[in-house]
Parts: sequence; C-alpha cells; structure tokens
Amino acid sequence: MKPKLSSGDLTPIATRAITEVLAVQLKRVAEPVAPGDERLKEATGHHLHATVTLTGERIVGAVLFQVPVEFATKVAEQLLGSDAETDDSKDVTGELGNMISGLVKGELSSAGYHGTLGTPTVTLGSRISLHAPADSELCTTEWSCEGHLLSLQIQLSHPHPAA
Amino acid sequence: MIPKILTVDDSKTIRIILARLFRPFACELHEAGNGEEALAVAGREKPNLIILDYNMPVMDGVTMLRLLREDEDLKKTPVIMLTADSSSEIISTVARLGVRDYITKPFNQDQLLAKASRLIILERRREGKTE
Repeated sequence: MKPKLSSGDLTPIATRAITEVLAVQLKRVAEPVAPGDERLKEATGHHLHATVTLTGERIVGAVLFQVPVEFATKVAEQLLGSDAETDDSKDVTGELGNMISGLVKGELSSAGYHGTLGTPTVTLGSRISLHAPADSELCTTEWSCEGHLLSLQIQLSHPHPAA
Repeated sequence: MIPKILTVDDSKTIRIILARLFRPFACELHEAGNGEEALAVAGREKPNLIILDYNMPVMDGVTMLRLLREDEDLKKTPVIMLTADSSSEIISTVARLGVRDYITKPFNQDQLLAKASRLIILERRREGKTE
C-alpha cells in the first residue's frame, strides 16, 4: 500500500520547484513568508494566476502560481526585453506556472504518483485560493521576491484507494 | 546557406526567449505554436534543427515527432526537446523517435545554445556542407 500524500509531503516539493524556476530562469531569489506574516494582509491589488491541472490514476489536482501584475510585468521585461508587448505578462506567468508544475509533476512521478499535466490557464484578479474538498490535501507556500509576494499552492486528492 | 532553426512551443514567451538567444548568430529562425503548424513550416522550410516542446494544444510534440519521422524529406532532421515535463515515459518515447537531446525547463540558455550549435555543425557535416 502506498501511503496517501499529505500537505507536509508537498511543502518541500513546492519549495524546490519555485526556488529552482526563479533561480535558473529568472536569476532571482525568493524568501519564504510565514503564514501569519503581516505582509500577506497587504497583498491586495491585481494578480495573475497560472493554474495547471494534474491528472493521474492515483492523484488528481492542480498547481496554482500567482504573482502581482507588477512582478509579472518586470519579469516579462527581463525575459523578453524590447520584444515584450503589453499583454505578455500573462503568457510569462503561464510559462512560469508550467515550469513549476513540470518540476512538481517530476517529483510526484519519482514517488510513484504519475500524472499528466494540462496546459496553463491564466486569469487576472485579486488573490485566490484553490478549492480543497474535504478529502484532499492543500499545500500553500508564500514567498517574497524583491518586495513582491508570490504564492504557490498544490492541491491533490486521491481518486482511488492507493495500491 | 545559413542554418534554419524551427522553434515549436505554444508559449510565446519561450518562442521569444529562443529568438533572442539565436538572433545574434547567423541563422534563420522560424516559429510554430503547435505540432500541426510545425509540420507545415518544416515541410516548407526544411530546417536544420527543430527545438520542440511536448505539451501543446492541437498537436503535441510526440505526435509531431512521429509524423516527422515518417516524412522522407524530414525524417533525419535533428530535434532537441525543450519541455517542462521530465517523466521517464516521455524521455524514453522521444529517445526511440531519435531525439538528439532533452532539456527540461527551467533551462540554462547557454547550455541550449551549445547543444544547438553542436547539432547544427554535425548536421551540416552529415550533409557534406562544411564551412
């Protein structure tokens, strides 16, 4: 019997995924923000949310990466330079979400939880949270990167009893 | 003849990053947003190298690769996979389809450039076009 994954199992996976993507692709460092941190109450304003679904025999869920629009704009300018256009921050956020989800999927696969990734869906709005049904696990990690608050959530449920 | 590179990714971000990476060098760049578009561009342009994503709408990278290998004119085109998906099943599938290199996102741009350059040089040697 393979034990069910807990949110405690997911936190180090989320941490490795976001820190690697920021370091390798953006050459940036993010510091973890504790759940009760006062800065989280001030995290208002428009955010871009990249959501990627993960579907497998033993796990079903999603990865949500959300960033303030100002951060996404800064990153788009960094990655795309003079080729950046007004709407490119959405595509950049989607691609970062895709990279993070790929790393999460890789770690889950190594642990025996295989799945297929969807293509990223990007939306704009205030900060959101993934819906977590009672029998699912929700891991939320918050990060500070150059004064911007970033959030990464992984929500997983086990559709069938683990074999 | 300068080498032609076809980049295939549904993310405009990745296509622009690759265009910016290769732009300073003497090469001709072409883009496609999915496997179906890529087959059309490849048939027309006969690229010397394809940099291919896996997870794309319309037609994914593995399906495109299978069809590429069935095309008499294009079957020997070197392909580098550049994808966020690093699962062993996909790696072994594309290896059987003759993918020359597999790079996972996030990626080091210098490393990709070095691998692409090496493959283009080898391809031109194979064709007998040394410069």
